[in-house]
Amino acid sequence: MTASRDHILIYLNGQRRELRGAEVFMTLSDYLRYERHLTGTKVVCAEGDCGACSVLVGAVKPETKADAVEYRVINACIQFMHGLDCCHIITIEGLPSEGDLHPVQSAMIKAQATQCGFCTPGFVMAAAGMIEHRGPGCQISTQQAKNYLTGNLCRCTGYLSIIQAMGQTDTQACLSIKDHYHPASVHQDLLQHTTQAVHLEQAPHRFVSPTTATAAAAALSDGGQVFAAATDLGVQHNKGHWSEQRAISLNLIPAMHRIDINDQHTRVGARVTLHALEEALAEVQPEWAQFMHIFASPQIKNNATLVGNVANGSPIGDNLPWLLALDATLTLQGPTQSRQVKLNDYYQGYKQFNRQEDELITHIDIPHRPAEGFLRLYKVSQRRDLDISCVSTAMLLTLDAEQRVEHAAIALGGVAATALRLPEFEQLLIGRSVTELTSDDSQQALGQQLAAQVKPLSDVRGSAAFRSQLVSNLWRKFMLELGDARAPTPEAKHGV
Amino acid sequence: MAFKDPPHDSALGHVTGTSEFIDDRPRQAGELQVLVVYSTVAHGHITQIDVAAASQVDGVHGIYSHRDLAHNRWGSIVQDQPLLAADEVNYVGEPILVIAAESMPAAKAAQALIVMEIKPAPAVLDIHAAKQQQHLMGQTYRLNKGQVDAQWPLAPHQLQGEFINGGQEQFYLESQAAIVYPEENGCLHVHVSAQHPTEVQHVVAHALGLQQHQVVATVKRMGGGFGGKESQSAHYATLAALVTQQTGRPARLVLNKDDDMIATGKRHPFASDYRVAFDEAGRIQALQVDFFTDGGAYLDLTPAILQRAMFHVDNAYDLPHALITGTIGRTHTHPHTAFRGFGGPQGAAVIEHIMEEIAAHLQLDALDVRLANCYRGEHSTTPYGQTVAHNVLPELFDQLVASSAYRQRRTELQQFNQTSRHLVKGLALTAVKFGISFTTRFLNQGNALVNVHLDGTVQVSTGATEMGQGVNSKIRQIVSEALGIDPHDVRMMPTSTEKNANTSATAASSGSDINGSAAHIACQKITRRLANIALQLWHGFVPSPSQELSIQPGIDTSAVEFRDGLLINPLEPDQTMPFKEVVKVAYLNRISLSDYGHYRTPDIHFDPATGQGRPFLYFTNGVAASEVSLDLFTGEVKVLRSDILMDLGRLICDGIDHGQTAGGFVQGMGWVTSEQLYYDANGQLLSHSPTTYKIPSIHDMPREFNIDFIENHRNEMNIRGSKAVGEPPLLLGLSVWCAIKDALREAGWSDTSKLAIPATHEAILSLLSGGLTDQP
Repeated sequence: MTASRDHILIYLNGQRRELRGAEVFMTLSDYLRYERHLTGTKVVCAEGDCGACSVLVGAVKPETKADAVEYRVINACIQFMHGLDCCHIITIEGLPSEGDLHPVQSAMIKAQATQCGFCTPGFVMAAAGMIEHRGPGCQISTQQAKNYLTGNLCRCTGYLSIIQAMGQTDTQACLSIKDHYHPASVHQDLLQHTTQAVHLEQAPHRFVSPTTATAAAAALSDGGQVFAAATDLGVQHNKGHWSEQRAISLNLIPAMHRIDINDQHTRVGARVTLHALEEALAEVQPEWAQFMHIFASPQIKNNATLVGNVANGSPIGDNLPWLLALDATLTLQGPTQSRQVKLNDYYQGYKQFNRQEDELITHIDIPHRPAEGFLRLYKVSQRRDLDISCVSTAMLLTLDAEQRVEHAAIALGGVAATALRLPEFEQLLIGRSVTELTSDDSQQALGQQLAAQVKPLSDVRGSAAFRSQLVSNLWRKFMLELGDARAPTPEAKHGV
Repeated sequence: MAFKDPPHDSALGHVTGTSEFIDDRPRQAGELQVLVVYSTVAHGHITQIDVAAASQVDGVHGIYSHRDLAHNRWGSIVQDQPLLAADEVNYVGEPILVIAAESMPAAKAAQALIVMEIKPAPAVLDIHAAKQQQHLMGQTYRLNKGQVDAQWPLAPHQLQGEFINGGQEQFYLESQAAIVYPEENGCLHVHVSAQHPTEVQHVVAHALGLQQHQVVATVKRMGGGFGGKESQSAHYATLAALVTQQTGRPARLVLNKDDDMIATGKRHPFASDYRVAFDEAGRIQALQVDFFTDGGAYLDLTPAILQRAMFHVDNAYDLPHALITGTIGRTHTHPHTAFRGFGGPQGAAVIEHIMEEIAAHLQLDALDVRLANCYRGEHSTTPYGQTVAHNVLPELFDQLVASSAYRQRRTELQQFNQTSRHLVKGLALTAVKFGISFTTRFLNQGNALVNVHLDGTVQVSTGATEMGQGVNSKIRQIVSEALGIDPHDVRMMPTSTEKNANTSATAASSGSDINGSAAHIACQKITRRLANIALQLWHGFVPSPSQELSIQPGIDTSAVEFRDGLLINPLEPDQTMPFKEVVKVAYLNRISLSDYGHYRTPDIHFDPATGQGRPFLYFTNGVAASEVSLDLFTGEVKVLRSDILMDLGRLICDGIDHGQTAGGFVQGMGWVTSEQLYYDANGQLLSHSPTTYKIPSIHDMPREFNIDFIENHRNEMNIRGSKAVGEPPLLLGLSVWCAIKDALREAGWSDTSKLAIPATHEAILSLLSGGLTDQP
């Protein structure tokens, strides 16, 4: 094993930089704006919700070949510099172009897609990330533009001119950012550093990035906070709610980046991003991959991890009902041994977990959805896209040959101190036929019974009464879709 | 969409990230960061403040209170608001102390060590409590036309009710920000993100005991304003200026988004009572509206906003008899303030709500009720006595009904709703008639300075501030056309009180009208001089050491044209000369190449005592048709299509007007749908960041979105025949709200009168479920 490093290594717009001191513990946006005076990256919300701070990052992970590296858009405001070890960061100032302007920039000018200009660099970077992902020469439809720019808020334009600009962009003329910024020498330099653990101290801060899970657990027993992408911790830090100064990264542990799909389940490492998973699970978990389209923004999905979402354990964690309904299993690593815990046994109360202080989650095993099962994931929020849910659900029914319920898994988020399964309600469903379940009376009655099993709270995202009504209505929606799926009618296609 | 006119004058800087905003300015040596400590109690008395430990924190230079101010009262209309609370606090977010430190972490460390006790007092926390308790401030207002009481019993139908709209956060992306630099002899230079640099200058000077000539306020641009930086920026700029005055160092105050949303003012909530009498066709015979607004803790701009709400209750509709009153409630919340529309949206919302209610009552299509009430002809008068001249409203209605295929879509929608099981659609067409001018007459003046340089390029300074709305681009266009030169040879300079004094806020949609007119006057003074000497040159005058050109008063310069970089006398074939050449000749002959223009909007007056007058120079008009679908299970709304048709006179910059229309509409749509401000039982705003306060995202814009303008060359009273655009399209967002109301009616929910603004998913589901309890 190579000796550990006392610094992190980054590239910034093609320039190599080793960081050692207080800079390591800054957010990327502060580092860019105040240390490098790259002020094109703006900060509005400081919580990863508006995209004004969008930059592109090419992350080199352990054992990664150059052709697997992608330059993808993330939010700089909630990203710590230490989380960017072995990454190449491209800001608006570094956007490569053949002429004076990148084709996205020219199109934004021509379509008159800027007003106050504060959100504009973020939109340019998100759009550049879209073209980088889809490839120079790609066609950009209105729907694609919306999907790729969903993480960017604009208060001036009403978005119309921005979408028009995307359609008018000469994508053929776009240079590949990776070709421009990621020669073999840069890749080798970054890759070689992924094999060296990091240990650096800058009192009162400490940053540790081991190369094995046992070393990470050992570091954890000295205290500190394990993080994957820190998309929530970054927010907590910015808002003054998190001041833990000892950070333990899982980034240099090769297994943490792996997705393994076998015939029973998918094993997802702790550093696997939602984006990578969304692409990998399109076939084995189609409902979830579809659900991901209204989950968070590209900036968050390119960075945040599924295991991070699980470990965070928010009662409104949007992925949790799905994982609970499928009976996912966590593997926890301690300093000396590892053990497995059913996710359904993991949440013990509000932010109370079945986890020892020196244990960390290395991966999660997600059983494939039953081939014959009928699964739906719903989420309702104040705004459909890019919003934390008010209520989220996963509802799964497996039917026997006579169209009777053989197995039921109903999970809800946003209605209690933790996301949870409803075993009593599931029992009510066993043995019932589709015809019976989807009858008007039964829909109504069961919807009310389901709602009666939870006691949600009122908060800024919705009142208790609203949540209860949603629970009941989502059951009815599920039944409507079940009925349509088993006996399709022309009306089914109205669900747009 | 291809545009004829050039893009925003800052477009290049915006797309490359090089446009400079306040916090992009490099940090100077010795610069201090400013942190404002504010009240966490809605109403109470400060019983103890101890900053001894906090002051000892390394890097802290000072902690300042109201005692450090020469005068501790400010306000745009009435000086009723403390800059720093002294004994009593009146809202959560009210500034109490100012910390100056070398870094923000040091300031925050100091904040944590401040010992402060506030003894809570009974608080009035929302508009309903203020209305019930008649907890009021300011005066009440009244407009009357005809005899409502006498007409009331004569009409065959009557309805009455209360209509409620919530507030709205401006959500400018750049939060309140100012940097103050010390200058010699105690003078200050304030760089600020503000719509009203003159007020910043005046408030800073007054609060710090300086004379106005000791303070310069400069605004390069704002990352959005929307009214939120009309009055409120002065408050925060003054707190930064206090630090500079106390320390002699540059001071930077940049609010974070959470503090900005908690502490600064928003659009006014209203809870207004109305009664309306109408005939079988839905024609209004008499209307009474008693507006009640929540002004917050201090008056700020509320009186003017309330008046504008009253002026806009007629919107596009002729009211033969109308009695309109306005009352201001006082609550222990942040003062409410300007937000695009400035009361106009709240006024128009009431009548658009009434149009839907009348339609429901008579079982008519709401479009037919609107057509029956629309201002017709050129001679109708508003409730405040202004004639609705050059009336294009009927034309707008007719064109949009046809171009949006409203009638056909109404039929299709009804068919859809008969068969659909979990979606229901609604359709509505609403209008706007927005009065252009400040309703306070003295504000309707502007000035501009035009400097022509020796290479023929031009710098223009006006009182207008650029917040993205494109005022600088429009003025650049006006100047370049007046001088006949390329727009790229005209540069718009930062707005600064040393060049343009005694200016009005860039507000009321009038920025381009007032300042563009002033710039045009300045240009005309210059072109008259240049034409004068050009004519002399063309007539054979040869300047020499012994013969100097001077302005000859008798020469008629009116025929000389300025275009394509040339001066041209179209009456004589050979008489052309490059602009740049004339400029050089003028300089060498000691003819001034600079001038100043002052503009006052003509023919406007209004007497508050009688409620009668002509407060507006003209009206900007528009119509919009929106179609929505509601998910009956979740209350979720989708805007399927919106068609907008506006009358903006002759456009100065087509792309900018297009952008203002789309952006204003979507902002209005946000107000009426997803933007809900949520306060807890202690008056603390909980939705203070974009994770909890939902402005429209890119997916929320109408799925199909069509914008068009009519040809109208008759608005001759305004600069180049144009019309103001900033605020009016926002009111068309009401078409989305009315479409939701229509969909609820289609869903069989007959009493939609309880639907308020905003119609959130929760509010909609509540109506669909027969009313949920426990509404936030």
